[in-house]
Amino acid sequence: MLEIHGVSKSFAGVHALESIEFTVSEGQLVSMIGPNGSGKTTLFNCISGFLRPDAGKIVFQGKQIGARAPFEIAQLGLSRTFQSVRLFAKLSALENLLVSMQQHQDDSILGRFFHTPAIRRHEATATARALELLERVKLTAHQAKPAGELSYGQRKLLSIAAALMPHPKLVLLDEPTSAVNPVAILAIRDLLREIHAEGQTILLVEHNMEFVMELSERVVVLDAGRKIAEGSPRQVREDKRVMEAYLGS
Amino acid sequence: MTFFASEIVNGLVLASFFALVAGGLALIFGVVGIVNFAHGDFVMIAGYFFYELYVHLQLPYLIAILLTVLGTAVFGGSIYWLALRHLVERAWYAQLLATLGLSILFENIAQQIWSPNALSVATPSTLQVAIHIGVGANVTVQDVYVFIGTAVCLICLWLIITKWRWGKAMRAVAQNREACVVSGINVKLVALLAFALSTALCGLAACLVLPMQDVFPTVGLSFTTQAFVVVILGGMGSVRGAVVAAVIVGLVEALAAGYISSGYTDAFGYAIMILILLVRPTGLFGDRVQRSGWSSL
Amino acid sequence: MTDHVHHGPPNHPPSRFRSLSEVLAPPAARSMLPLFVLVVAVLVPFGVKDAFTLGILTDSLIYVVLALSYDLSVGRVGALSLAHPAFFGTGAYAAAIIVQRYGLPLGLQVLIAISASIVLAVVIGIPAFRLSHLTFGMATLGFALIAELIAQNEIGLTNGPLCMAGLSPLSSGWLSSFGFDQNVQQYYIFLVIAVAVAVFFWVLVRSRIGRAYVAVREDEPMAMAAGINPTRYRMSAFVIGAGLAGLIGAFYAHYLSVVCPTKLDISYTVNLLVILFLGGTGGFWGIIAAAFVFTAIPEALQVAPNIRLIVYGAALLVGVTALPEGFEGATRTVRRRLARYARGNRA
Repeated sequence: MLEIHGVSKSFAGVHALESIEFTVSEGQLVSMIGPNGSGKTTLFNCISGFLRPDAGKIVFQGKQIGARAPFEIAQLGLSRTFQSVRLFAKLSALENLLVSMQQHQDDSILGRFFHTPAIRRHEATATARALELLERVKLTAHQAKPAGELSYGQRKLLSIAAALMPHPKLVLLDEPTSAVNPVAILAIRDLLREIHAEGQTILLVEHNMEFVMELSERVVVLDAGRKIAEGSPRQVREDKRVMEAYLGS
Repeated sequence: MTFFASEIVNGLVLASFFALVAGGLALIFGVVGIVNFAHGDFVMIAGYFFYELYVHLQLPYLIAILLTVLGTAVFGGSIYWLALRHLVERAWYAQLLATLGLSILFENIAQQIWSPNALSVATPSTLQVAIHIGVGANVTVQDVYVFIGTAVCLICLWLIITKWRWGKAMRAVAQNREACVVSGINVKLVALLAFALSTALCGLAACLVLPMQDVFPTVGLSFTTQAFVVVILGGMGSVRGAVVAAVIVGLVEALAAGYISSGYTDAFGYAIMILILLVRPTGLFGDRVQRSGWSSL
Repeated sequence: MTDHVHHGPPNHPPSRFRSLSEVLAPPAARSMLPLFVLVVAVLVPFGVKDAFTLGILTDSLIYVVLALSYDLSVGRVGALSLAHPAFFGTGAYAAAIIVQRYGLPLGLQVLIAISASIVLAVVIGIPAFRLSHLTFGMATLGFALIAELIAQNEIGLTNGPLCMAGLSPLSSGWLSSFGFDQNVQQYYIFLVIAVAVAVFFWVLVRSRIGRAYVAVREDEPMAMAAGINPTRYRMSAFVIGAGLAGLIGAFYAHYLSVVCPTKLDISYTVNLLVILFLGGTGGFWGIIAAAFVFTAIPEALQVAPNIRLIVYGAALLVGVTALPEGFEGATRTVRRRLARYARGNRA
């Protein structure tokens, strides 16, 4: 589904990524780990179009996406969340989800504006989907609240729900558990487990090892912009280079 | 050839004026951190100061210039301390709106005091003597004196910001305000000095250009927009960029006015700015690392 | 709390996005205000007979349309354009040129005026939206000044500073059959336009497009991650606003019966910015109220233009410095404080 071939990126001479190579297949839950500054978020930004790789190919469902704009990639069915939760603070929780559906309905300019029956049906479907997701992340009671007024954990859940909203083929989650309290971590873990069981393909960047080891089928380890290991959670845990990278040799 | 040469001379005079006004604007943006849409109005007000001192009170020419420069600096510093100081750290559009308001205020108060009519100032006749140079263009003593005045002033500015203690502090503040606050530099005072220095440049620019340009209340806005064209072209906050861009804009406008149409002089400055920005969104000497998008990641 | 990067003009309270049917039949309490305003507006000519006052009210209605159309770009997508008078002027000149040269009927004049403004907006927008914030503002200002220079200098097309005259005032046979005089007829015609534009604006900002506008303004990267093309939405807000300005420009040309280059002047931008920022960008009623306050009061007091501008200048300077969120923001703050005070008293 997602193939990363020899992707490199450098900032002012510093190699943030060097010939990264890995793939994510349909239905998998793959995690990317690595110490701070190892290039995980840079890679995420390359995949989602916010950065353009200097070299290499990124192929999503057979299409090269390395040079496309973020919104085009999103429209192809690749959603993402941001490490520091980004939501539209002034829009309500429900509206935050509906915005994600904006471009995923075939509609005309006229329809967007005049709310033709077709659009009304789409809006109804979108609202139903949004309400279902809100139910799943237990935010139904807060649907009318501006997103800015939710707690951090709630916002994190809401941002994951927003990413899931357009039925993405692949969802990239950037540190879903960072700065979240233990109870919310459990909620996030359960949510990911559920959607993965339903067949959702997920690529995760995470710091929380326990979380990664519990959920992932495969783990990719980056260090200083290079891939140093890849395998099952158990293989990775026992890999010498990974230990060195984390413990600092 | 003669025509071309005299257009070049016109262009350089214009460039000198732009360099002084836009250099000050860049200094305010870089050091004080304000988008000053009232900048050109300080030139307008300085023009009236000079008119009062030189024509009305009949003070000697150089004394009038000196007093105008000092007066504009004091006036600029007071306006900064009274009003504009509160805009530091506000969003750019708030600064633009508030200083636009200040500009309208200046313009209309000037209209109340001096009437909307244009005033012209004749310089001493010794300055109006033409010098013949090889290529056939007529250069007046006034032109030479504008070039020299500008050059001396820019060298002084360069010495101030590289050698003088407070000038160095200005550069430091422009580079990293927070670090300066932490390291005990009096950022507020530095900003005040930078603002007064910039308005002093406006004062000098007004004195140098007055015989060639009438002064009237609404003239400030066109100075402001031209100065913004120059500053954006040079890269916001870069004084060096502003000086280089001033030469480009001055020459382009003079040549375009001479060869194409004098009705569209200002338009050519804008055209150059827009064209260059499309290629280099941060301007000629802009910070390349700085993002130019609507919002950064 | 959040790390959202706010670059756009001040934001407005969360709004509910509703479809046309919901807008036309909102909860009873909410529907009272627009209805009340409308009834008062319709009844005004029965009480106010003098041409001067009606003229002031008509001017205010024109400013309502201009301010709302300007807010699409400034308040809704956060693109501070300084080119709005250029679109207004283009509409006015288009109508005047068509009348003088081809004598086409009003309907066609308006259509052509709207199209001309839209084309101009696209021509300006394509390069300008590749820039951002301040450089966008300065580039649009550049285009606005170029438009004014064209109006001044292309005498063959625009008559230059001599202005274009010969437009007939607006009238309606149907309205005159009620015995209304010219001034009342014009008032009603502009009232209809203003109401139509206000409803259009209201529906637009509460539609899915309006939701995307807010998304683009609030957080562009997040909007892109949600699949929204920011440039397209920004451009659409800019272009729709320009079209509305062109529309009112065409009618305004008839209202004044002459069109001069000064109609493209930046002082219009200043008036509009005062209205938007003191009325609250991204709002609705605040903008409408401010359009009336800042148009009608100075005219009613017959303040000399430059005294009025002194007040405007001071209002902008002090207003923006002291009230970061504009009038609506200030009333919101007051309301919140009152509520807290009331709660405090009960406790």
